[in-house]
Amino acid sequence: MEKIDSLSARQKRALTFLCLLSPAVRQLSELPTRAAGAASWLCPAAALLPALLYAALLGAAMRKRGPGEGLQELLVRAAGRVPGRAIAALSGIWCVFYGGFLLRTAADRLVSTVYEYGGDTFFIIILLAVALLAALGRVCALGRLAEAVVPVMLLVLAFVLLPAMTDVSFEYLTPVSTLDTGAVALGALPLFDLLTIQADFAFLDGYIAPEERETAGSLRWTALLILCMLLLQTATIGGLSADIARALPEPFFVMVRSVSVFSGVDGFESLVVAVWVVTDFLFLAALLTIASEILRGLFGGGRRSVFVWPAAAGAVAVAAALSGDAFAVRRLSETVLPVVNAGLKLVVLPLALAVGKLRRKL
Amino acid sequence: MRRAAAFSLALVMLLTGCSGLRQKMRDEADLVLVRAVGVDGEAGESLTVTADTGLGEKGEPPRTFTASAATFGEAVEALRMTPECRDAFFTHTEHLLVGEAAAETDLQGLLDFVIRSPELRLDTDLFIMKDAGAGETMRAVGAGRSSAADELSFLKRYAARTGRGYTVECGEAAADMLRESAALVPAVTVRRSDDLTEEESAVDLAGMAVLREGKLAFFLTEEESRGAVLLKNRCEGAMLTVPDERGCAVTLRLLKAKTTTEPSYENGTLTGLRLRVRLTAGVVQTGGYLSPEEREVRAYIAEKAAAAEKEKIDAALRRAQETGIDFLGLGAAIERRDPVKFAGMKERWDELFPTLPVAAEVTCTVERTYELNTPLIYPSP
Amino acid sequence: MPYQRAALGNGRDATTGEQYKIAKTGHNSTGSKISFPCCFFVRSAMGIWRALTKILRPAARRATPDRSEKPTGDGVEAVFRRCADFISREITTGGNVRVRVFFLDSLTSGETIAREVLAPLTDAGRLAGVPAEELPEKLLSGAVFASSAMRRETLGAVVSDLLAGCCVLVLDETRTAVAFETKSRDKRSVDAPKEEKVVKGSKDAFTETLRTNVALVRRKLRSGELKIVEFTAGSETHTRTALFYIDGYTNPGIVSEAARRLSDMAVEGVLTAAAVEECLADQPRTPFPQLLTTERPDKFCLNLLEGRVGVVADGLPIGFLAPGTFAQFLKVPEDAASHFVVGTAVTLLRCAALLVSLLLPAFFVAVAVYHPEMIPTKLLQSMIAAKQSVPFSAPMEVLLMLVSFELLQEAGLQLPTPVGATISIIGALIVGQSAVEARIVSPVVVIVVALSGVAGYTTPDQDMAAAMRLCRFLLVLAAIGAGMFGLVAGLTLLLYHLCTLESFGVPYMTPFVAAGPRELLRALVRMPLREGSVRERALHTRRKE
Repeated sequence: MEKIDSLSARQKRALTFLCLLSPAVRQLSELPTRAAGAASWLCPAAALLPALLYAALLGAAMRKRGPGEGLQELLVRAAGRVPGRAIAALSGIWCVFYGGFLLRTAADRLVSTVYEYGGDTFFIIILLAVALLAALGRVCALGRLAEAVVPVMLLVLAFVLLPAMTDVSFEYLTPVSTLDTGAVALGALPLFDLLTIQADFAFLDGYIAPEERETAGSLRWTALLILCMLLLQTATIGGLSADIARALPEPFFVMVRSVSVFSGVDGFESLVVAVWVVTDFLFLAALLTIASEILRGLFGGGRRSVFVWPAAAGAVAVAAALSGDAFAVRRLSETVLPVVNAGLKLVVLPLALAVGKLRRKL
Repeated sequence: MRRAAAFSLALVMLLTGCSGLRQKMRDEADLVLVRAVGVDGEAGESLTVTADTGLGEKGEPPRTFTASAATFGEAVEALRMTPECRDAFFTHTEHLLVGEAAAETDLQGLLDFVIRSPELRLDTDLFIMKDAGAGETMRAVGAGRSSAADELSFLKRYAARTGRGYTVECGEAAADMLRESAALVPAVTVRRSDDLTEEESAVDLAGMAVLREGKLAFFLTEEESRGAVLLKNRCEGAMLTVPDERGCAVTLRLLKAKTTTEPSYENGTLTGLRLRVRLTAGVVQTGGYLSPEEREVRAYIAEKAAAAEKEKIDAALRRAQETGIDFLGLGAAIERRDPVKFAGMKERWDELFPTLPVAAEVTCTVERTYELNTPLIYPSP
Repeated sequence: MPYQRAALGNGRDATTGEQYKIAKTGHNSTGSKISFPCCFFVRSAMGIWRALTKILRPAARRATPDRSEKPTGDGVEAVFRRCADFISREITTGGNVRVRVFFLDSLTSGETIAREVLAPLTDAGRLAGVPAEELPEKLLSGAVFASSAMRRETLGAVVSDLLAGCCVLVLDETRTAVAFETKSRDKRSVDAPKEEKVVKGSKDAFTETLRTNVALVRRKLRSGELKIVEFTAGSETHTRTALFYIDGYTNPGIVSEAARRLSDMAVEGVLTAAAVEECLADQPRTPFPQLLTTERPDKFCLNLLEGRVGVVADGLPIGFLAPGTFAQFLKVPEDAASHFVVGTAVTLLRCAALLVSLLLPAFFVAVAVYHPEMIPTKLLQSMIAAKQSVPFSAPMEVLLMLVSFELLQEAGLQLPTPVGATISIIGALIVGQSAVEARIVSPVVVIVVALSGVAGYTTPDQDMAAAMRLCRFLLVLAAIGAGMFGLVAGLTLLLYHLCTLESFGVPYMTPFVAAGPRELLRALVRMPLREGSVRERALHTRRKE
């Protein structure tokens, strides 16, 4: 029986959802909390409409693809061979860079919240090894893993957020007034920027059967992600207050430390931090898979697994370069990465697709 | 082959433990569970940290350990260097007891360490010691039948019923200071009661303490503490005794307190503040003659109760305005109600507050009489 | 799909007889790789054996006739030379034609042969005047009373029939043979299942006889659409295997793939369940079972109705079902027999037990060693008190107790039944109780390991339970290495591995993956039978629901 490597739209959405949970918890604690303070719990809601619009536009663009075509092929068709491949190459480099950054931040999170005596290197190696294993395998296995993990993740979130919401102090969530509009909008920007990363997953659309093109599904998952972010931020700000949260690097996990279930079970932040690592594994594996898929397209085909190794090497190089300086990582996270990502996803990509539309190639 | 290589690398890393995680590994047998930490002394000079394990699993007496250093963080590490306390484990620390001198000098540093520490938690209760040292209190209580940790746990559960104060977590105190520039935390003292032997002591609630700019500012009196507790709506279960029309004592239990803030403005400027405090109470005991079932009787009792509590609220308000420290959170309450208007005066609130006309209007409703509607009047021969 | 060829000790291919060289990393008889030094000695030993065999048994090999030739009496006798149960008789028919009758006494019923074959054969009235050339046709058209008669044109076919329990009549003059069905009725009677408990279901189980098993299935599925296709497997054992499926709605892709794998089975003998499983499974190297096995015909039929294919082999009292998905290994027919609410509760309990069995020891190690903050204060105080004077660390205690548990379990399996149960009880009491009193282990560890072990026993499939026990050890090692992070990393790897598995094109983790919420609900909740059909969407059965 021939093994076919394919992904269902549902699996891809599950993968995207889980992958974006990983940086979401970090992004929420940065600009949104600093900018909007007590009103920052509204930032995810403010990012909802633009995020849905982006998902809808991306879905509409991807409907133009043919069988076996992903975003890379679409870009080549839309913008021409050289510009299309250049944009794909940029996206591939971005995925590798972000993979390295993810390695570093995930390891950093483990050290600062739970393993205070551990070093980054160990966690980076284990994260890389597990993600590499998944990236070297079939894409459908990664999709299945994501699909299987989603209910677990939602269960963990429910387990944490339900008691956390009962401990929320409404004084910490107020005041909210029209004066906060600007700050909330500013805080929503990095969240919207984060959600545009779903465009990278469109490079895997070649594995999805052409008849599976549900835009409605991706809108639902985007809304679910926004809802999760809203609940996370509400629980964090409501539990800690914005003044304390903005001073902490991982306020959500610090809040979890104080959550108590059945008045006896508490202190399970290690469990939550460890479960969150699964999203890091998945995201890194997905980034390596996407980068290898792009490289395969650029170098004329062949086995995708061959191209995983250079992508992984690039990610390790980035992680090594960032190693040892948590402050540089934070600056990168707040300035360079959102700007580069916005440039790629909000300017370059839409421009290329618009050009394709004008040239009647799409 | 490649997959096996990736997997084997990970497994080798995991098993050989070249991870530096060995220091995180603990042996249960060596763990010393610290349930309360006391801090005495002055920052910069010498801070003394006392750790209390609380009563043992089978009621064994508590163990206390002491170490000193220049800062709290150093002192905690120094504690771990002592042979008996090598594996002190602070994640189960429920209470932080800070001596007066330490609170006046280094509360900010202490809270900074608590927030940064992966072991200590933000929901650790914070108490300020009054008229005694923290370590000395812990040792004194531990010499008897109880421990400071257990006493403070008991206080946590029943503080509101005393009407003299309520417990506050470290995170809460830090947040209040950041947001309102002042915080209220409970003060405790050591007492010797008649039924305890000379060697036994207990910890008791001694009102509230005011923190400002990361330091202890002053202690509130019992009356002022009660007023603060009422304004903060933290008095569930507190008892109150008032005379009825015949002069007999009626004891009420306060069920709920709700304070609403009504600022008044003139030309956009805050000219006054009215605080409406609505108390709800239940009758616990009467003098035995007048029945609270009758509306007039209830109204009389409620009026007396409201008047009694108003005195305390006024005392708290006076203290706040005299010292110029808004420890009652009135500014934050106005901001929640009128954020746009308050935005203009937020910077000058410290100047406005001491002279702002503040009036408290207290009303009380007797809501229930529990198991007895009409008092039993025994006929005289 | 790479199937493992059984490597014979002398490096000869089992099916074609060709010589092949064993590479530096050779394969042993189960297909796993062995190291080079070991390989060198094996190769040398096999070379010596080969030489000796050639010297000692040349005549026997050269004398074996070619099986593709036409059948002769001498040829048959040559094949079965030195077989004590081989019977050869020369008979003169009623028409004075000399024929030779052969049968294997151990596999046939003498009474049946005498009554149904020899009696009519020698009856002067029946075959009078029938020459040798016309005799086979007469025999095939009812002159003999056997229930089935088959013409055979090759020596190989005659040998197969004799080994299948037939009585074969060979005419040397025309070099043809006719085989008659005369199997012995000596077989184990249908008994209750021993490995699978039955509370409300039928109490019959498969036996070692293929025909009996086919009968058991037929009695439950009286449908003309139930198809049974026979194959022969095993170059030496020539074991008959039967493939069951329901024509019209079992996915034809699965049926054809199963048929292909059964016909391609390259093993010497089908004497153990592993021979069938390793040849039919997509990935034989994983410890997770990919075929459902059952000794219950009702469970077998239930799975056929769900759209699976079934395989039964002669000599094995087990039915194999494919595709096997993870969720199926947690189900028992009792769930369908109970009220749907009770069935659902029990299914969920079993799922929870699986997680407890897999994760509890590793979770305990992670929490006790790296994350004691998760333990409630009073419990932690109690654990600290109990741990005093225990010389071993928590990980060592857990590993010791897990190994002891496995030893007790294995001892209970290997010992005869009357003794086995006693040893298990005594072992558990002595080891557990004494170890705690002697402060070798702490009571909490005993409870954790015992609870984990007992939870593991709720898994209905023993192969799945064994795989889970193996994974339990690995997760404990991962937890020892890095606490909760190690545990989650190990669990992610395990889950990923399960996601890579497929069984006949169906993802192993169905319906947790590649299926909608409704399918997932059906896996966890026992729906009332009126509310939906039993077929699983993931198996892509043909008829619409």
